[in-house]
Amino acid sequence: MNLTAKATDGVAILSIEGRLDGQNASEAEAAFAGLAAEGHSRFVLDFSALQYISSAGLRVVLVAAKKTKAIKGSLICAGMNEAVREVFEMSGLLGILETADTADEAAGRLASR
Amino acid sequence: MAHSDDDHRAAADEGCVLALDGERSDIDALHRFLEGASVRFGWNARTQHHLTLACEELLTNIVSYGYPHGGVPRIRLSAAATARGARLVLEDNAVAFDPLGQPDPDLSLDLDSRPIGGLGVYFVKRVIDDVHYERLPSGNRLTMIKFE
Repeated sequence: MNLTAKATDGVAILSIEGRLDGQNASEAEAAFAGLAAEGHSRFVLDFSALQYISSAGLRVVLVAAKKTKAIKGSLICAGMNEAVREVFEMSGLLGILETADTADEAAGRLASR
Repeated sequence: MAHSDDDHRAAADEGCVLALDGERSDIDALHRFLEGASVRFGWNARTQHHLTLACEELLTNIVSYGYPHGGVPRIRLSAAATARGARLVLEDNAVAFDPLGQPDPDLSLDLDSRPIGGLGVYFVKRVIDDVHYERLPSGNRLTMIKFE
């Protein structure tokens, strides 16, 4: 897994590349917590280079979504490939998370909020 | 769907075997092992993905709950081709635990009510066509049949 965080127009974008699973979920969770601790409240989780996610990875997304809601912010999951999307779909989380096709689209949506 | 004997019988070719010891690097090893098995047996990308996901979820459960009194995990995964897909057998030396006995999670809950865990075994049931649990004197054995 490779993590990249950047902030533009007040929107924090966390790109998670490779695999988000039991081996590296805690690292990704800490990265998100770090962005929230910096005062961000609008987040994009960019999955465009994510190849694989398991329930341990979904847990990170769920924790991030709950944290975002608690601080009255917004979070968008962007750029899921077919395999990643299938896991989200099975979990039922697609129905309660906001998604976008690309990180740019998600950031644009959040910048205007 | 009716299963033929061939889906359940160990293939004449014993297949590939992976030994795991409950370390975090097991997941790397699991991906490499199922990549290799998929090339060898000609499984498609979707089958490879489903098998990998199911095995990670089961492995996580074994390591998280299987050794409450300590001990060194000894986990063995074997993969073989069947006439219509894949047959995986996962064996451990953990305390008795039938993952299939767990209730399915409630997927209709909203964000606030949604528990953080509980999806792993449900994913196994979703992506594997037939899962069979046995308790052996040496530990647990889970046999998974996946059709392509």
